[in-house]
Amino acid sequence: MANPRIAIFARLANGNVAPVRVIEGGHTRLSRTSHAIAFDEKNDEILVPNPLAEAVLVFRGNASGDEAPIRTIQGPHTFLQDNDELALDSVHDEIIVPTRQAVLVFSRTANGDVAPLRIIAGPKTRLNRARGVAVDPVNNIIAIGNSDPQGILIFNRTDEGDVPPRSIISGPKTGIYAPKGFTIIPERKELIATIEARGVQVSRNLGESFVGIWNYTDNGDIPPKATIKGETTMLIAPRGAALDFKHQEIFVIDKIQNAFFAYSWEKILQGPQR
Amino acid sequence: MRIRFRKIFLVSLFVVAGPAGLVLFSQLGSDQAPLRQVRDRFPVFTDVAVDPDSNIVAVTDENLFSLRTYDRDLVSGDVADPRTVITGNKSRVDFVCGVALDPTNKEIYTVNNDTAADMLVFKYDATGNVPASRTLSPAAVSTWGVALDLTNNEVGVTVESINKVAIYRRLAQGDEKPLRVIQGPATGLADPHGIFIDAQNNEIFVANHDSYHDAVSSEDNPNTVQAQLARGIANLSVPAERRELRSSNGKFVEPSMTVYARTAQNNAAPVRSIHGPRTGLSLPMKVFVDTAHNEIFVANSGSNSILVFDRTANGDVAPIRKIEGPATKLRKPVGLFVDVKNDEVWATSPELHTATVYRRTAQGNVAPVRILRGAPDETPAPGIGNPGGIAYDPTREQLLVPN
Repeated sequence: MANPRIAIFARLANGNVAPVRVIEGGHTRLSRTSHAIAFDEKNDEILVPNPLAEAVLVFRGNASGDEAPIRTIQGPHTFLQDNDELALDSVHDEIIVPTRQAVLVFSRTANGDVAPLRIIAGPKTRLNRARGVAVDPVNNIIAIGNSDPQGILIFNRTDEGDVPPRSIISGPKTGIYAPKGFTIIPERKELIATIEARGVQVSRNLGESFVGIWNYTDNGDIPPKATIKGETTMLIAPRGAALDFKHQEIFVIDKIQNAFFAYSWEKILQGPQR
Repeated sequence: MRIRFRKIFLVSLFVVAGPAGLVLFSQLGSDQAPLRQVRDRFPVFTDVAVDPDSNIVAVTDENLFSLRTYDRDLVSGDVADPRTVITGNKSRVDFVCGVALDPTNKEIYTVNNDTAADMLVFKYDATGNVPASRTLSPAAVSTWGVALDLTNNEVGVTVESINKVAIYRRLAQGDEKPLRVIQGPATGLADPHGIFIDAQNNEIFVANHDSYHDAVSSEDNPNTVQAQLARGIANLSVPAERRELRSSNGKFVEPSMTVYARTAQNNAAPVRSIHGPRTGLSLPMKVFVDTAHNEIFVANSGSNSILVFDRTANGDVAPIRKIEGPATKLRKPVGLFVDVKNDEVWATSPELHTATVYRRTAQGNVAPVRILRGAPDETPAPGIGNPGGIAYDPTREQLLVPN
């Protein structure tokens, strides 16, 4: 949809349905290029990036209509640039924002022109065209989707400066072309990544892209331990994922289908595994 | 008898249980069907353009990735039958936004937005999964508006992410460079959307949202690895440019309508700018200048209205009239076209799957004179467009999807 907005749907929404609530309008400061979102259950807040204005916007959890953000991170000291993605660490009250060649960590309550608390950047980090991001506040890792090397970089949560990743999941067996969206399961120490296959934006072929699950301890050319993949999945270009632990479901958003799909998490785990 | 019974039983079991078994199997492996899906099965109309002489209206559909034409004077209470539908991977019609018609050469111009940001040109009668007659790559990502200047044989596009207007030869294709570019902090361009080239008065009009940052040169190259990545075809072994940390310069500005000399280039300041609280501008999308009556029409998404300004308006001025209110059936309008020959103004409401037509001089809470429908009336629209993220709110048991 051409309009910048955040659409909120009921969990059981199915088919050609309208959202139950929409955050949209000039006061929201949303642009139509917010390619990531985080929900803060503890503080009941919604976080989205606005890369066109180099800003991070925070809304009330129940925001609706043309409602202004309650906080905005923006300004010269923030170093925000190409900030297409973000992740929330509600345990340590931090927001993690990858830019093209850096990872910026802000206080969750940051507002205005504030400097990051920590920055991971430099040649040893191997960060290049970083895309998706996930943080595990329990096991203390940050996962970054990286374009060159093509794969997933895993850092310690408290890393700072020019530090190498503690592991890199990369190589032909991984099947990774462009990792984009991440979610995590701290209890199982598993990382779930949406992987867009090369060329699907042109071919629009079903079944080539996939959602892959890796262990935190994976390092090197390791295939995913389980996947959601195939023509039945309806996935063409999966871009983000979210988990509903209570109902054991995973939701995957697809850029080409302009849609999101719900899958049974249990059935994925019953499927073939490495 | 017993053997025959067993045979019948086994065959029956296979017939009855076979499909169920297949469904079960498909859901056990990684190739499982979704439990639920939220997806719009209908086209949503984004931008609109009319050729009254050929009696066609063209609309872009960014949901199903199609470019459609209909009879201009179609009166239909139900879903309208298109004359042509261009869609499919050969067409490269993707997340299409702007559309313009060339009535002289019978061509349709459209631009893809946040993916393969190409300008595609098709003949009026093209339909199906067919390649474009010409393709131009004006940006890495996020072209939005397209406007034709048939007097000077030029075509202009806006590029949202790098706050840029680029003017090309009308027949430009491939990697051809623009003739002129308007870009820079003095231009007032900020997340530009609609564009109109007024060849009669030698001016360019641009509708701007409120997000701004200084573009860096590598953002502005349609051939970078980043651009190819947006198209999903990058060879990632090619070393990419490193981008060092820099002070952020992003900011929010007032939404505006900026006006430039037609031949303006580089960091040129606008000759006029409509902005401020009296204007009512909020997320202005398409802009159209009616040179016959000296009026500017704006699809003002933020207020569910069409605003009309004097062509030479400048500063914080109120519109001279508005089409606004529940009877108009406008909801977050995006596309707009003024058909001077038939004295009509068209607007699209993607969230209603409609394009609506009004008298050109309509004012206030007026009903449309015609409605072009892409879906049955009252069909709900999920409104998901080019999504990249999703989050779950376990407290309210809701899913959050930004565009």
